[in-house]
Amino acid sequence: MLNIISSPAETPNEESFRPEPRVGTENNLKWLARNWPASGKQTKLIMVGGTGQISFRLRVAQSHIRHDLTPSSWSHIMLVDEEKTALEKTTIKEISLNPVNGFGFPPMTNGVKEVTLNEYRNRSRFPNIAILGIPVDLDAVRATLERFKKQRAALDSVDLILRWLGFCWGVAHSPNPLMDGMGIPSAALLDVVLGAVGFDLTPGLESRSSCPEAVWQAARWWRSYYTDQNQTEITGAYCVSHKLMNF
Amino acid sequence: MKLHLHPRVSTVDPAHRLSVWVGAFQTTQAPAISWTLNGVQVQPATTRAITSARTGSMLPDPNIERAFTGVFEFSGLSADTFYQITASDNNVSADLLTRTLPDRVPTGLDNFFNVLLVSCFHAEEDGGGQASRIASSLSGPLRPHLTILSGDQVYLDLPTLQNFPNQIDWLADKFEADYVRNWSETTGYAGVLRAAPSVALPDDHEYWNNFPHVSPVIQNSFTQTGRDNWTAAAQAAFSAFQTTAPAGSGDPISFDVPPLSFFVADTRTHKDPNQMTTLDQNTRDQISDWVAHVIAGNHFPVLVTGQSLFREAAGLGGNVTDFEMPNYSDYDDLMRKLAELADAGRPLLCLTGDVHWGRVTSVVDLTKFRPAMFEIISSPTALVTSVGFDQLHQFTSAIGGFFGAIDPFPRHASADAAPIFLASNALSGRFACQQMHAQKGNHLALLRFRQSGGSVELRVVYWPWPEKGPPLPPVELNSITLTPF
Repeated sequence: MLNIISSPAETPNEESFRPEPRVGTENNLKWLARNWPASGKQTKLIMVGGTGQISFRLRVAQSHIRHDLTPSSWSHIMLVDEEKTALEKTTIKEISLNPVNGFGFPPMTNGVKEVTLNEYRNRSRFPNIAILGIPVDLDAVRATLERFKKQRAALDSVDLILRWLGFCWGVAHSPNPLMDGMGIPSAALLDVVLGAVGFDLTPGLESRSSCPEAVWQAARWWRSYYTDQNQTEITGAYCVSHKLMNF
Repeated sequence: MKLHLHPRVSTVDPAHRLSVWVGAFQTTQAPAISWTLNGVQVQPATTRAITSARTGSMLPDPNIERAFTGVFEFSGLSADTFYQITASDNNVSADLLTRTLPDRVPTGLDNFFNVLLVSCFHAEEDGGGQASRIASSLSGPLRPHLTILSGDQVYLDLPTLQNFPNQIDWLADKFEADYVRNWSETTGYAGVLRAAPSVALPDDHEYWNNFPHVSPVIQNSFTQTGRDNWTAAAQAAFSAFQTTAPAGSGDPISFDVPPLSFFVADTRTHKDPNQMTTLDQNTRDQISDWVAHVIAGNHFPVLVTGQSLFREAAGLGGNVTDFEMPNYSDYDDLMRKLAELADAGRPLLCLTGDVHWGRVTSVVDLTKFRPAMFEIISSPTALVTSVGFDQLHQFTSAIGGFFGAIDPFPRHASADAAPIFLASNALSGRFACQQMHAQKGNHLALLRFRQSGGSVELRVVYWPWPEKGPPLPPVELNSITLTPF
């Protein structure tokens, strides 16, 4: 069990972060279009839970920060960068462990890559999806993220990528990096960047140990923390239709 | 005459003021110093005028060469900014490049507020200036903004096997010589003292081992007259060389680098020989005020003490080695007062030295299941010589070296475990301790603070150095997040 702090809340936040099932067989883009937040400059994050091998390994690895030790519903999180009218053309910034066009040379950008949202439209590959509204100005986040690309001292994402690939690919005795406080790079990136502009993305976990499951718990369970700290809570919607374990 | 300048923390508005300690050594009279700041002649405020470190009965002959010290303050400065300061008297001058503290702990990705935490420095075991070399090498983003000297900056009671005359003038002369060596020589502590504005508190070796109690290895402590003479001479030296005026010997010091709030408590000077108190009433009152200040201002409290609060009471062995904080009757009240910070959800960071090993401990408040306290110990910078024990440890290490790796720290002990529950006598089982890291050997610790959201991120880096063999890499620990709860 990883040393994550549990929220004292007794009930989850389902008012401002609400469940929204799919309608029919809509894909992720249509689900997102239906639940896209209205505000303009607010920062938005998208979280997905995938069914591929890498996603499976990541979801199981995060079971250690769940009190019931069951796999997480989430494997990846990304920043909405530039919104386009055609949602599939909306750009996102991410650190993926399975990047669309390969890794290239990650040190150049501290692992950060830009793709379009279209890469995540497939509901079979990514059956779980969430959109999260973060109450900080997107321009500030963008500026910090650009700085992040050149500042490996803040978070060495390349180190995280290699550790997580070793674990995901089952290389030799590679341990679960979370147990050593090494977060999943997609979430650690956003935790560090949002922290730098004044927002606690995962109040229960140290930034560099962050992971999508911790963000999920923050959105669901840490509402009172944000209120106590005079911060606006995380808002948004989610759809969890794929679980690796059913009781 | 030789002049020496060391930066000190100005406790009022440290982001816009700089205190400078000046020492004039090998002279018979106080110098008339003229100052420049960035090349411009200025007149800083006199916080403590330059006077002889020894006076009255400690100085039977006023015509001998000796040390004069004073403290001056420059104001109206910019935050987190370097200043070149020069002091001169006739043809003698000294330079100092230092900087003000930041006005806040930085946000963003790139910048940290760096605090150097050191304690326990024995110059003879420093490997020819290792500590100063490491401190001076911390440059650029690693350069300290603040140095905390958490005790035993000198070992006035050494050499162990030498009996000192019970004469206050002899003792004062000896203590002054110890300070002058550490404060001025490159093989002393000067590089550490000049690394950043510092704040200092004493531990027992600013007096004698296990002060104020009778020590079986300190003959002068056997009689009340012996203890009185030693105490007076040691306090005079501490006041001359270490106090951050206007605070005097034994006075607490507090200042803010928002959202951090520091309280530096001298837990040695006012210890009661009957073990009733370790703090005087003034310090206890100021701690109460500070706790209220932290809670009202939503600060992150940082408490510096000369001894660890995360220890069990010493048994009979405390008469020989040193008593611990829980051996004194006011410990429980102190811990109950600090628990008020946890009641208000303010995570407490405790910093200390003393014990000759490093350790990082976290404490969970079991009533809230949240991290409520952390303690970081940095000790020693250079381990004191222990006659007999050192030779035995070095011999056994050499034998062990035939069968495996050589221990780079054969004389050093490993860290003791923290108590299972903190101050259980006062706080029952509310606060559960968990050791996060143990650091063996000589080292300096750099604490790097950064605001992250509504929390403060703390990165701890130990800089160990071996007594023999190749250099060791720094040890950076997983970050600590101080989060209100």
